[in-house]
Amino acid sequence: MESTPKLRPYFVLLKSLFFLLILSSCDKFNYSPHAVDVDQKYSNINSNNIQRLLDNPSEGDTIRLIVLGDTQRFYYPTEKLIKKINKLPKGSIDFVVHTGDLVDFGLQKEYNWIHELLKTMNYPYMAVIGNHDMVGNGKEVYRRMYGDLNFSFKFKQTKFIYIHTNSREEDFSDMVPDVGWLDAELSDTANYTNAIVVSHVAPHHSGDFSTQLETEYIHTLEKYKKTLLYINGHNHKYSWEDVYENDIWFLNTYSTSHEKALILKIWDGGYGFEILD
Amino acid sequence: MYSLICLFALQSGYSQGNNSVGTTQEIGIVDHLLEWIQPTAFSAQYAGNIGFGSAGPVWNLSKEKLELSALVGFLPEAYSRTDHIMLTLKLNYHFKTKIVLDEKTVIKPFSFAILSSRYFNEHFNRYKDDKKYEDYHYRWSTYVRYGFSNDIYLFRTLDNEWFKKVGVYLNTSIWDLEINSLMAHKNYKSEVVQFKDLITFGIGSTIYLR
Repeated sequence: MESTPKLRPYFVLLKSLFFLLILSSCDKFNYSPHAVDVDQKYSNINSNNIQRLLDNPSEGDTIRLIVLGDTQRFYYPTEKLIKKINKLPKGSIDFVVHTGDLVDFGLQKEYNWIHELLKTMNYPYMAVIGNHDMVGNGKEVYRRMYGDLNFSFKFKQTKFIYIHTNSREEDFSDMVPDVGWLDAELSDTANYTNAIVVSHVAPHHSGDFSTQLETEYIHTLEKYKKTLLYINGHNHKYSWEDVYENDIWFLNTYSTSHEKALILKIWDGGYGFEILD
Repeated sequence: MYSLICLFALQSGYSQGNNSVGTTQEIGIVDHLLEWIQPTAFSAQYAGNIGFGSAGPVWNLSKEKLELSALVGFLPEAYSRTDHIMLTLKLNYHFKTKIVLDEKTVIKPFSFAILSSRYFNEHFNRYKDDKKYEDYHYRWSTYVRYGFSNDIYLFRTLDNEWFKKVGVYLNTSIWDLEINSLMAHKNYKSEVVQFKDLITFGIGSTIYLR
């Protein structure tokens, strides 16, 4: 169908060019689905949330956590899970541990979506990097949004050690996981009572964790006799087992596709958990 | 790049054909092929998910309605782990609908296209035939992306010895992994993942040769 409205041509041409100029300044001009383009307000999420936690500690020695993970592409189920979390009595949770695989394809847009969702929780969250978070330019997006890939913090005498263990994505490099860094974190025994180690891939996830580093890694976890619990994701289903029969228990949380998470309580030398269903 | 190699190979073949005893019919076929592979236009684009900037030849495949573009795009390190290039093949269909502004200027609001971008960088993987991954480890690949787009064109006919017309366009596109993110697990019901988030813009210009 042709139509020939009587329009002043150069006025329309000028208006079109002006329109294009205005459009080019908006944030919808993306350079690639895999491009890294982090908004300043989304940077240092882990360290900002740690600060938020330390600035507002709950009373008493007991620590109460939500453990969730593998949110990758499960936005709607995650949204429903967050509604359950936000219905918990106010002040009943200190913070949320995210066990990695925030996203599926490592895209900037995915990272923005999941953070927009997770920040609606009533509690700060700290996320470890998962293997899906690393694909394409994902590792760079994680680094610019969340910060260091290995980090730790102490809360009420418990040290939380988040470590990058996605060996396959790093070509099974000798530095992933960084066993030396883990050893240094655990060796500081005078300054903490218990250690909780958090990673996405667990050492017994053969194929994804470096088999060359597995024995040394487990030995380091045992060495200082302070590792109270190992929290991981990757399997998408709940399990709690003493995999190596050395009294280091591995707690694998659900993926959020199940609309489930774990509520973990930690006290001096002990812990307990229940399923948030 | 692939197109340029093909063009070079065919031109080499053409030269050799001229030096040999070749029949008129053989030269006719090469002439016809050369005519067919000669670009009819050149295009350059800013953004639109095919690089910070991209440019390349355009071929008219059928009656100035169906066009194939091969655009080489560049993504600087500031937006990736390292600088890298990508090659996008874009198959456009220009619909008849137009708004005539004057005898030389028209707006064509509908030019649908399918796009495929191939990334040339070690961080982008097929997850197939790879020593690190078993086949289809991730069920998709990061080294090729598919998209759908529409270009709103403003064309101006030129009185020029070399160029027939010039067009500026606004490109609007959506891409495979993001569409998948919206559709999977009823995410379209979510408050954070919305269709408008999938839309990406680019602006570009195409100049047509005589």
